[in-house]
Amino acid sequence: MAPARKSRSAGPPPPSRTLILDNGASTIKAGFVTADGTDEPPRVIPNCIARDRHRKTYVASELDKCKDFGEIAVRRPVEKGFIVNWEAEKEIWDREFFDDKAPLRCDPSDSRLVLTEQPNALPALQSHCDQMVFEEYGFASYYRGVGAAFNAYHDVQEIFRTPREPNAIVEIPAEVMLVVDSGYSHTTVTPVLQGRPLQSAIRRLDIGGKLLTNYLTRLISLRHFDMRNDTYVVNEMKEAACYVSLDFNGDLEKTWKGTRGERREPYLTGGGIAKDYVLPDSHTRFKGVVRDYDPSASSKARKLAAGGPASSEDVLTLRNERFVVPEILFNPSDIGMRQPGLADLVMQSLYALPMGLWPGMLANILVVGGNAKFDNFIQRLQTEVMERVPDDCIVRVALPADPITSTWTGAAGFAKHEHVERLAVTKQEYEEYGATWVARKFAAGLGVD
Amino acid sequence: MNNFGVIEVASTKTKNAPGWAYVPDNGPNPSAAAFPTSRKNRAARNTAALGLSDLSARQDAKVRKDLEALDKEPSTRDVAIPARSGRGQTKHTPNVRKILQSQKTFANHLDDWIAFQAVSRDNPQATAPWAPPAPASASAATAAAANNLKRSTSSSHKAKPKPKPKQSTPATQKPGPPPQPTATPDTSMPDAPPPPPLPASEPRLTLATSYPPDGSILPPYNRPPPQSHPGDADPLLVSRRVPFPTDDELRALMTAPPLSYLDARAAAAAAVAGGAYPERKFCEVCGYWGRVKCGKCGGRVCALDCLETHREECLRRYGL
Repeated sequence: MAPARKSRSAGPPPPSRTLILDNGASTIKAGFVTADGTDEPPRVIPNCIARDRHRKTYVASELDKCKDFGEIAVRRPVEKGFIVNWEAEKEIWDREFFDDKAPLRCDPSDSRLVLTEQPNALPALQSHCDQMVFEEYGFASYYRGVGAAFNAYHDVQEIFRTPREPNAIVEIPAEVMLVVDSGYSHTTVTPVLQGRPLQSAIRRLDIGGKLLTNYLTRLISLRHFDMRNDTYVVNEMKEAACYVSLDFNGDLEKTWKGTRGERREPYLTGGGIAKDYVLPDSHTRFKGVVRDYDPSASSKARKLAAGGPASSEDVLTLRNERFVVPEILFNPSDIGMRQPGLADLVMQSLYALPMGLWPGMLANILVVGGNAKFDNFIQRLQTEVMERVPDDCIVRVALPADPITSTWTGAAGFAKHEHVERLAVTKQEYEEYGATWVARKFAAGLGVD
Repeated sequence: MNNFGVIEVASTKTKNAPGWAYVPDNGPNPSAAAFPTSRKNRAARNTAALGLSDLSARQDAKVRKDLEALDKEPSTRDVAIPARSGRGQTKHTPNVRKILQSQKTFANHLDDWIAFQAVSRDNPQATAPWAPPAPASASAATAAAANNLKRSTSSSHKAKPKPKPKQSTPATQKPGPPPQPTATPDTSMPDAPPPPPLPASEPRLTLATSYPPDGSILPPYNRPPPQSHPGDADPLLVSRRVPFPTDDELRALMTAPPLSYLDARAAAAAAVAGGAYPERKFCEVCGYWGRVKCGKCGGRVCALDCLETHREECLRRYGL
């Protein structure tokens, strides 16, 4: 707990260090920013408590020590992007930040916390969050804001590779941009004007990495092995092998085995799409490996299965699974979901804005979040958005260097910007005005200059 | 298939969880749209979908169950938090203790919030604890969005410059450059201030000296305007410009309260575009196009090989 401060008229000086937490459903991105500006990249910590099949429990970054991910059971404190189970979250935060041996040791009474949240949160969950930060941890100063909006505190035009003079002044926050955040639980579209999220135009699609992994699990369990208890392995497979198709019909045609008796050339040779995935056997190999499809292997394996010694490795041939899975981000109706695809989601968000803002938004679409790492993701989004807007509009879609930590780096920029002084709430203010006041202040945001 | 007009009666399964609440049931239930589990919603959707799609109530329920399974957290068998001896029991404040002991899930919190909304609609004076965004403003925002949408879908794809009613404040506008020759010279409206040009680099009619016009929120455009082109005055080549939002509009946008969790969920494509593309059907076995329907159950497969695989497990009756 923080020592009691004497109330001064000017308030206490701002804390020396800022802990920035991008508390995602799958991973926490965490790191410190100090006033002198020595920047370290954030640590990416799994935000879960896991138990493997030998009933050993791993908390957060201990998961790095785990080798055998078969049948691992995972418990996540964050649901749908919001911290719901504080019991588990506190355990993770304690181990990572507040214990004596914590890897990112932090003294809350002399630190500021900048915490990201997903847009359109439930007020009860927000107030839980504020109460935990101040009453349990006692941070000296705190700001909680929409994660996507922090991306405006990058040098955005650098990401878009806009040609400009070498010594041009970098505008921070960026004037106009549209952030597409495709994470573990869902995908949101947030228009941002000078660092302020335009709340009335934020739209959400309930498809995220979790749903994609579950879908791939279902497909593989139907067609190959039952992997329903090995979602962790399937997730690795998804990250390694899946891609967004730029020619869906053509790719689907290449991966079709054909009618009965037909021996289609692209199917037999793999057509450049089929890949072999070698599953981890948790004795010698702990990570799956993607290999090029080997047409001779499959017949050999069949022969071996008939007589000879069993093959030492489990190989799974991925064909249309590779692109059908990310495809549901763009066509949710493929699995019967009654929601628009990603490009339509962008359009729905734009329709909520005056048309005069469209050109600026369309020319500055930034995609962040883990799903953006699928190959061809931004190309596909750009093509689909271009089909939907007038010819005159320039559509640019860009991917930051690391889409997963992009929000964190943006928040680090925010922590050095003068905006943070206007927005952050001190512990003293919390104690004086109460949680409702804090919630209202965060909801109001920066306002208009 | 309409299943001969017989519609399945919903099961009586109810959610039994902490955080329940009595909800006065008057008006449409917003949670049903996002998490369609109530039978009322199912019936409503069936009547709407009849004729258009051949989904029976049973198939619809199956799709929904599949989606719920896909949305579930994978492998969340109860993982206990490891006990640690090193740390003594610290004292928590009552609020913190309550939060830590809460076993509510997100669905519980959402139900709570909906119940709270319903209560606050009925007696507004009892809404002290939380200050959620006023439902009126949220619905107004969505209505505005829908309005905006209707306008843009009804008009042609090329955005036509529409005079915004909000722009009728000529007293505050500075005089600006003299009226430019516009694309339709016969209807001259000399009093209207010239709309600001688009920021995109395209041939434009007016000289972009100041963009936005009275921009106190967004900084003015101070780069040199693009070079003039002999075709600039050609009514066939001229670009349409949309008026830039006024400061008032921008201010309203930037200070708008957040939408609620349910309102922010994007609406179904069919409700938006008017004529969405038909659903794509895939083979249930191999994932290729579902070109053939199983005669027994109506499931889709691609060809004979897959049909045979499918028949081995096909137990359902058609339309059921």
